[in-house]
Amino acid sequence: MKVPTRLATLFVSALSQSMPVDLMQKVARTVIPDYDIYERSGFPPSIPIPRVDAARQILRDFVNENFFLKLVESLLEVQQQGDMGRVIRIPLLSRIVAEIEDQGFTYSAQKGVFLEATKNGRARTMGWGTLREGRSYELALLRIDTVGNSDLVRRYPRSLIDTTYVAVRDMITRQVERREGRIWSWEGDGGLAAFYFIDKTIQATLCGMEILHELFLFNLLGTALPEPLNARLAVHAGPCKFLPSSKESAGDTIRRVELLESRYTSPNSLTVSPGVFTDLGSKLSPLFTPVSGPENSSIYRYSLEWQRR
Amino acid sequence: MRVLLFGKNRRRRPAKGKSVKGFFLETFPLEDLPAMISSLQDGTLVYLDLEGLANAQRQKVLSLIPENPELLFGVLDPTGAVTDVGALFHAGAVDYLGKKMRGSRLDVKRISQVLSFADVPEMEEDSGELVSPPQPAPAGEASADGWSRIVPGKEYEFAILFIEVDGTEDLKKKHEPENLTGAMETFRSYVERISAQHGGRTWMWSQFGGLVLFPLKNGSSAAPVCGLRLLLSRIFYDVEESVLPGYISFHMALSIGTTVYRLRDTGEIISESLNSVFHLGKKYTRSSQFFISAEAMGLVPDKLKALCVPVGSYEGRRIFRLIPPRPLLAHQHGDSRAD
Repeated sequence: MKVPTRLATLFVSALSQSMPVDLMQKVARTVIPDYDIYERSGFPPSIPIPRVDAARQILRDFVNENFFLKLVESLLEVQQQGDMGRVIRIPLLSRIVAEIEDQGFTYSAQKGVFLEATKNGRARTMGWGTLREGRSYELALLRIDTVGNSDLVRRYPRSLIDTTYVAVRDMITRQVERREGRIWSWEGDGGLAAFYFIDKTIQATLCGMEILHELFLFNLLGTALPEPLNARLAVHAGPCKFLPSSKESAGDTIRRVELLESRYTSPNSLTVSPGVFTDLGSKLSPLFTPVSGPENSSIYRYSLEWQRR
Repeated sequence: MRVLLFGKNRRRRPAKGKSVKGFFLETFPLEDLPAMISSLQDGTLVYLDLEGLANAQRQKVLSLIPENPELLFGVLDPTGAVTDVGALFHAGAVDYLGKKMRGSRLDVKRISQVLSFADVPEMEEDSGELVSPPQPAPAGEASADGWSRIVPGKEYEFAILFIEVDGTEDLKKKHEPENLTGAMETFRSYVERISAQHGGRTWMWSQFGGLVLFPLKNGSSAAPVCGLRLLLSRIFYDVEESVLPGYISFHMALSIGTTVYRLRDTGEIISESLNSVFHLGKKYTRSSQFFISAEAMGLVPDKLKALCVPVGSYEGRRIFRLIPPRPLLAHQHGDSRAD
């Protein structure tokens, strides 16, 4: 992110007016754990660094290493929670946030992070503007695949198939982004969505359930296709490397969710791995039925069914 | 009455617990505002907290005031960012708490003063009686849902959806009155939101349910689809909005009828159609079920008719039941292994 002069001036003033150098370093270390202000600035440890010089050095380093937003997030946290019981008031912080937002970000107090601002409700990047390429994160992944694509393509005009799949993809994208997820990949008839923030496993699961419901309504009321479109969905959570520029999905968590979807999920149902199931809570978990999973494990299935009359 | 506070640093806290003098204060992050605004009941008091907003964002938020004359807007401006406060009132705002009032509370007294200023009658504590919404519906509202031609005081044909929570006596026994009132407010919000997506408006409402009106447009209405969606989305309401520990269930009845559309004193309306749909919903419809009268079956899309089965007749009319698929609880499944 580019830091304009006005924002840089505000930042240096805010930091130097609100805290001593040792606290500046402490906050900086919440983002870059081994950050050493003396080493970076060249000041000998025996000489106190003036606050303004320290603030300028921190600004330079964090902008260069693309950690500026993370540092402001840490400052917001310090202002909210204090330091070791001490109340820390950081003047100008709300103006700093406003300046950052003018750069195309929005601060989510609920999540404690800056997110990319969305345009017309559409997401711009796969990493919410906060994930860093090549790093690993704990994510919940939702894999979606429409069933029998090849059969449908053979039996119906290409234009009808294309229209139908575009409509389904739009519906799925809406549902994913409504729950702060991101579509990571899409290949014609299916794809992968990622969820990162608080309650990510529940959000991914609710999203999968809602897609099943919406697909039911779509088949009933929203498509010209003479037969219903069916889908298999699966949710699994685990560590995952963020590689937005890589076209190949990789990693154990992605492979696992693909396996659950392709081998262990019936059409028009959603399965979740045991780890996800344990997060679901007392209202969601009774809606899932245990079924056979990989390596004799139990996974859990959700589907819409007609009650016995 | 709902008092909604939207702000940048606000967390999502829908109505929970007790109302204070009939007011429910709910807070939401600002990002929820665009999606929620179209579904808010006329006369809802909406406070916009400007703290932490950049100039462009602030202007965008304030532009909502003249665009939505059917809502009541107040503005919280703790940093004194608004230079022309008078312009807010010219645009239709009903309250402003500025920098010098930082620390002042948005309390019942203040809200009562605001409502008095806006000439809105104060609400009594919910007595369980049917009450009408306190503010007139917008006349000449530009919408495709048929409401644009509805003028209060005149008679129209509507699709009328009756909806009521099941087991109200049990709920009263199990929960404290104040908790139950808060819980039922979230249920009402749920019905309002889904109904608004299908062109419906909640009209008469008691603690546990009420009527939703859908103007007929060229003889058609999305009311049956709305009922289906209310049933399908119930689990998301249970998990994400409901404050009750268990699952909620409700029954619905849909019919077509003629009534005067009035905003106040709805208890004085004499309408055979209203009586009929009340009776159908209250006396004939069973728990968790969605009944549709023969007349209203004409509104049901063909593919949806396949989900409807006749269940008998009531007051000389054939009645159908719409049976949607639903998630079954684990213990209701006959099988427990993968296909």
